[in-house]
Amino acid sequence: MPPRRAEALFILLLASVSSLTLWTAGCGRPPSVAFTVSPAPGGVSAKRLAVTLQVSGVPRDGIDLKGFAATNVMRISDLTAHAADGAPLPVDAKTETAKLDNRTIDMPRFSLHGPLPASISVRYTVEPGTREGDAHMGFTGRSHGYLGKEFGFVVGRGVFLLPDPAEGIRDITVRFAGLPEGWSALVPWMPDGEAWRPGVAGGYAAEHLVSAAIGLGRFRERAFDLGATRVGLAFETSIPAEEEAAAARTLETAARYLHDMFRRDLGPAYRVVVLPRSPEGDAIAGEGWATGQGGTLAPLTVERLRGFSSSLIDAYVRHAPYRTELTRREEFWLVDGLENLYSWRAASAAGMVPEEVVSRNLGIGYLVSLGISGVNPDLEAIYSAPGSHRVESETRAPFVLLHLDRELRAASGEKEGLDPVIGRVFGRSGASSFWAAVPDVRPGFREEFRARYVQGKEMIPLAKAYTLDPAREKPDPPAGPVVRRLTWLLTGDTQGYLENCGCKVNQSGGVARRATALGRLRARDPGALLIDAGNLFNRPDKQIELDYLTRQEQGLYLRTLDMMGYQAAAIGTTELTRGLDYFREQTGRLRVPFLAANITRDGRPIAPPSLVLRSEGLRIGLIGIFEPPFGKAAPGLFEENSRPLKFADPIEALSRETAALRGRADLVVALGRLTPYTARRAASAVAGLDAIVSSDNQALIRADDHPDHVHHEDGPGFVGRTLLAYTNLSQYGLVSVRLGLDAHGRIAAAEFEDHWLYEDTPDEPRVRRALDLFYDRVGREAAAQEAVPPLFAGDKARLTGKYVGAAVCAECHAPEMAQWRRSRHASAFKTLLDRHRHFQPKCVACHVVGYGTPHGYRLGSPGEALANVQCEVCHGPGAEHAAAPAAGNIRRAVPAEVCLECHTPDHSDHFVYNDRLPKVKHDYFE
Amino acid sequence: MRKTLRFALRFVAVIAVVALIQVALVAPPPAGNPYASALSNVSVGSAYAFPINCPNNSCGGKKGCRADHGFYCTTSSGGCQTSKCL
Repeated sequence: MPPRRAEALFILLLASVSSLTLWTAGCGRPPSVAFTVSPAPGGVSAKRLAVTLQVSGVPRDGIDLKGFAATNVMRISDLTAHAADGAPLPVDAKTETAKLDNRTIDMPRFSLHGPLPASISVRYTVEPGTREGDAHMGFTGRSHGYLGKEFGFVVGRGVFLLPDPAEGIRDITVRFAGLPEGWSALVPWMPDGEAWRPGVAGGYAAEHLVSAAIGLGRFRERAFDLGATRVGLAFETSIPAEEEAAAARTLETAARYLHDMFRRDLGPAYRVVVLPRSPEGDAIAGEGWATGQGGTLAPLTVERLRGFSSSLIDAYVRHAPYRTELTRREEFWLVDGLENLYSWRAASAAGMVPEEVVSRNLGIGYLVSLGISGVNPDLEAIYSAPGSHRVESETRAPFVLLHLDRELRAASGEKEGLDPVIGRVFGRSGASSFWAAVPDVRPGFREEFRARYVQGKEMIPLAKAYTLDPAREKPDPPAGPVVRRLTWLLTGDTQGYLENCGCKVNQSGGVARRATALGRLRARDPGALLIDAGNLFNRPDKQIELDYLTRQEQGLYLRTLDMMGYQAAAIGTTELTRGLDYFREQTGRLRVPFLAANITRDGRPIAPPSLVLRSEGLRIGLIGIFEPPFGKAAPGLFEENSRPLKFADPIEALSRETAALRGRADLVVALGRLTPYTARRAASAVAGLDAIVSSDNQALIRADDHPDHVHHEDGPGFVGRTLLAYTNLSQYGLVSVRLGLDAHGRIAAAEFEDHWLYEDTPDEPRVRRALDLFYDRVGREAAAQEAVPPLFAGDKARLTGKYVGAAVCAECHAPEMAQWRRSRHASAFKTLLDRHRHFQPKCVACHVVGYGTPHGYRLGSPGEALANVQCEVCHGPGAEHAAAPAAGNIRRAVPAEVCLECHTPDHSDHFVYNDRLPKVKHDYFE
Repeated sequence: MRKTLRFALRFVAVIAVVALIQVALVAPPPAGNPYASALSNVSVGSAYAFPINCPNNSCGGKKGCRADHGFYCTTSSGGCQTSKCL
């Protein structure tokens, strides 16, 4: 062989060997993993799963097993490891901490140190079904997974630990064993004998495992084809057949809309696990990936459909292996924009929310985002800058795309639009530049749009296309001169707010102050009309569960309406959120009448439609009217519980009722919830409607003083001849309007005045006494106390430990005590005494030691040794330490979570941990 | 000697090319992108049970916060600030 050829062959051989060495050295040979999942001892009713993990090909030097969920979702216990011969292996349990979106997340991690055998077996239990929120502040109504005798649902990341690094693991199998009779496991993986094998397109085994939506139970399955993708819908069998059929139709419509827009298929199969709410009433959160998703989707609400659509869109644009991947960093924002715009558009295409409401809500979100500090105006830079960009992704990006769509349509005479652009860019697996696919509908359009609105050099001109004209100061056509006056006193959206609770900067509001303000206004105008536009019930996002104390507080609040002499109220969103029966239970004994002209159940009105009242010599006809909220304004619970109700068109109802009242009333007023958009339509469509009083003033309104300036709240005034009034002070105040009528009885003028209920407004004694008596009575009731569980619900030591009180700590820690005595923690209980809340369990829990625990504070006199925020609130129960002082039997370090258990945004809105921490350290003196 | 040096240089060049090819083949998308793997910490964020309710209010009105889903309002003597709930 010639020397040169020999040399070339030798080099090639060396290169091949080196290459192989590099590959094996860089990637290693990943282990194989086999899982067996079964109910833990006690069956599914024990609400735990037992997981066995067999790992082969274990590195001799050691292995780490990693979890892919936060420790408060993946709750692991009893983890043990053994060699093949049964010999136990030591395990080092740790947490791995990551910082995401300004919050710290701990994930479980277990280390097994070498030397290790080639095969090991690991066993552990997991407890699915973490409820989001806590018993003290309230649950949000969302849970991560669920397991019970009815069914089970988990996401893979809540169950499976994997060797780290997990990316390279290719050989994973999962078996389910010991499931109750009749149950099956629904998974998105390929069957492999009696087991399942995660992985798609020859890879992604670990991703497919942790992102899988896994249903356990009895399911009914349906399917439809989306091109070459078979979409399976698996409905848990407790979902009523009618609800299943309705949800199936709507989900299919939304899926087809998205498929038609993206113009391509996903993989061969996409599975959706459709669940009801959990027996505790929570919506079960799932996860979506390339091959499916799952969670509570029945009954199907707008928000749930939007979530389904969002996860499906992610399969096209975000998740491997079927995504179309954008390669230019400056276009990455499109992924978020598409997801957030088209998830809403899919809900609209399925008929669940009007397109105009989608546009409007996105516009309002965009406008509000302009006022949020720290938001990057340049969407093309959001993935280059560190930190969270949720506001940009969720509110700005979708609205910029919506505006692009609008501009394309307008400039091309509806021949072009955003949908075909999306199809061109994402219709094949490799996307070209997005901007290259946008038609240049006029010279320089693309560059101009991109510079102005995507890169954020200018604000989108909301005024031009998305806004309403402001209401006017005077009616049109003009009315005659004012010959008589009358006064209306308006409240709305008060949400069951008794009075301020917590260390908030905003201390305004409350029923006792409202009663004082009303008394003063009535002294001035004895015949003033007092009415409420609805939303008198508390919001479920504050308190998802209707516990005893919540019911009692709601009842007290409503009774104060009678005390204050309310003459009428409208039925609004929160009245219906917990169902009509609860509303009737709470309002059955009230004198104040509730009105609703366009809501029926089983064909019958749920309340009288109207009422004629006398005020200052005039007959005022009130019509209760309700426009159901959509999208983010609609709580999930409202959508579910209002399903038995029918909401007729508010304009039609107003036309009918106004005509009926005209002969019997001098003025006709619509009272309730109408958006500013609908209110304007009503003003022009309903002849003889003199005024509209609404609890919702959210809209994009062109500012009168500057044409390019836009507000996101409508103000009062006239639209044509009709007066619009809003109850925008919510629980913090009330609005009075002094009306001037002309000789024909038309409203000719209106002077509005806001009455904020600040701290300088004293409490009205009668209402004050009612509140105090309530706290004293209800607080002593066992049912009320039990409704407020102890703090630190997950800390067994705090729940069961013995507390001794600060006086005992002072015996050894005099300097620390001296410092503490000068802090506000030392007078925390006095704060309750001053406000007569010392029997309100919800307040007491954060102002004493160990409330609700066997050895903690007892609801009673302030002489109790455990009143105030003492040492043991921060450092844990101190009995053991007091008996035998040692560093190991007391918690010296106090993590931020301890403080944030009580200093929440809802109760302590100006609390900044890093700023406040120095003030409680024992070397700080005020 | 010259032959040996040439041989060695050719060998190093081949190895370098092979290594670069491997890196290019397995390279993930650039850091800071919307394509987070299901195994990444970003995806873990979806499985985190928030301990605190979002107050659902934003700046509005003369002094204080008004209901606004998904936002969180803090007021102080310096004014009012709206933040997005995490």
